[in-house]
Amino acid sequence: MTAHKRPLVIGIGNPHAGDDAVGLLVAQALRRAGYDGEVVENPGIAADLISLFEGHDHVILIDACRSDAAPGTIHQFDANDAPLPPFLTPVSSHGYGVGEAVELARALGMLPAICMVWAIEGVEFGVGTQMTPAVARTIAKCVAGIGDISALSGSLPPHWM
Amino acid sequence: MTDKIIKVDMLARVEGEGAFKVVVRDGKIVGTEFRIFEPPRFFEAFLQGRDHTEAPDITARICGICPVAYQMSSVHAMEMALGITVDGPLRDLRRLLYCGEWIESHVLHAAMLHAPDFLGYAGAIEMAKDGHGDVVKLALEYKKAGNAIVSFIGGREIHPINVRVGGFYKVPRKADFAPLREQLLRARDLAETFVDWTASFDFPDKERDYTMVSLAHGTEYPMNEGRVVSNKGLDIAVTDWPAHFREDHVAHSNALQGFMVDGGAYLCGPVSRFNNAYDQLSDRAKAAAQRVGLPRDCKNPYRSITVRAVESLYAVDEALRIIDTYEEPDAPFVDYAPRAGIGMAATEAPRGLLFHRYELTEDGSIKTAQIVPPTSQNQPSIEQDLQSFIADILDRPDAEILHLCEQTIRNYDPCISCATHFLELDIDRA
Repeated sequence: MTAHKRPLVIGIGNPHAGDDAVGLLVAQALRRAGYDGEVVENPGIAADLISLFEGHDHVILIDACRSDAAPGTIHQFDANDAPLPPFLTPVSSHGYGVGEAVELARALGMLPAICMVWAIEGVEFGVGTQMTPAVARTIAKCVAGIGDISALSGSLPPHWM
Repeated sequence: MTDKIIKVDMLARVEGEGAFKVVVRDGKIVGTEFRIFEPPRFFEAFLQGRDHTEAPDITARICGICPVAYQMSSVHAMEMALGITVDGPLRDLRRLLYCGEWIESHVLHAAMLHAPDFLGYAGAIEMAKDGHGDVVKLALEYKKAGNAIVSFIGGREIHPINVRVGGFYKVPRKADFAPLREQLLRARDLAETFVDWTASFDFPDKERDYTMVSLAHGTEYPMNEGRVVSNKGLDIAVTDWPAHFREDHVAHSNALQGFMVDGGAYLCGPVSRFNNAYDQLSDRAKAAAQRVGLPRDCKNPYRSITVRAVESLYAVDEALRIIDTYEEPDAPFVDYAPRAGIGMAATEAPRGLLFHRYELTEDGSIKTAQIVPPTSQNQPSIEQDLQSFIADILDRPDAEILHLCEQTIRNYDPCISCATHFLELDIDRA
């Protein structure tokens, strides 16, 4: 598999806002792990996310979320299956939101053929706060999961963790 | 209809958590409250004790769509405290970077957040689904030119990492600008179309006699520096800001509200800049404004969407001018030694004037930080707009009143959404 066939991974968040940084940290850990696909960090502005989708048929978006699940829960959604749940609207001031990006891309016919959203349940989103340990532990799981997906040439295993 | 409360607890299509309430008694508005929770208040404490070199990166995190503004106000203030001046090509590069952010921010707000109000949609998604997909795509393409500038100068599209106190970590070679220049030339055509599109909307026929506050610079449209002026005769150095403006706590809001020292509300942002500095716009931007009938003394805040489009066109023009006249600097930054001092600066964020003040200790650590963002300053004007503009439609259906309230608040571009929809409308008929 050549590098450009790997999924584009977009880590979303704010590095100074506790658990909101987790998407960015997954992106950084992925690079350190030697991932040879494209990895982008973004604060989650919908218009920019749609522009990033261009030219990619397989995208994985990783963001923090808050839905009252246990901290560190990793929710997985296939954006082509159904609209994303409302809790994927941003929990902090980092932008217009993954949910809006996906729906606007869908409306414009610009949604990648495979568009996965991994939403990591957080609990602490205050500026200057530390990441919750349960959330920090998901970073390695996400890196491993993306590695599994890449190894399968783009098809997702039913239970990746 | 005699008594009611019109209230929205969570504003959509604005940055952060915003809310508003209008209280009506005996058929008259007796109170308007606009509230937005401003992250910078936390950042001020967060900055204390950190090294001054960290300020550009930390303050850039305050806002997802105007990090350059926070970086620029912070580095200018630090440089005053440190006694250094950054000019020549480094100053030009900063202005170029700011042009990129104006394009990014203005196009995003006008196309995705504000236009749905004029066209009658809940948001950009519904707008795109209902026959306006092409203009949304145009806006996305146009915005990319802004992103490209920020990425080229700042090191990446969002939250630039190349800005430092004294200048930049790295500066581009003149030959490297060619692809960006080509992209901006293409964007200029999109910018003209975008001005026409925003001017085609129906605008509520409402005006107010605002005190319009902006920076003013003798030879260039206000962006990175200048005196603080108003259309009512104010003309002061930025360092006199604390003597002419104040921030007050109000009972209904966590955010401080900005006032003139005499207690008067004022307006900052694109409409103020347009009124105060029209002469400094590029010929192309002026021609576009005239073509679409945008009056030079624009007092209708709903036409701010077109002012933003004109300012974006100006930013494209200005970026091209800077690129075409760029000479590579001898060094990427001005060197300096840390020292104790006080520094203040204001720059023009897309949404309006952004004031920073820092006090540094001998080793260059931040002792105190004050950040006055445009949304704080505009809060009293927003409340007065709500009071003034809906008074004559109080007998209309609640949905119509609510729509005008939301549209009015978005005139100010209080940044970007953290919620998909408005929460329920609560009308209390006493």
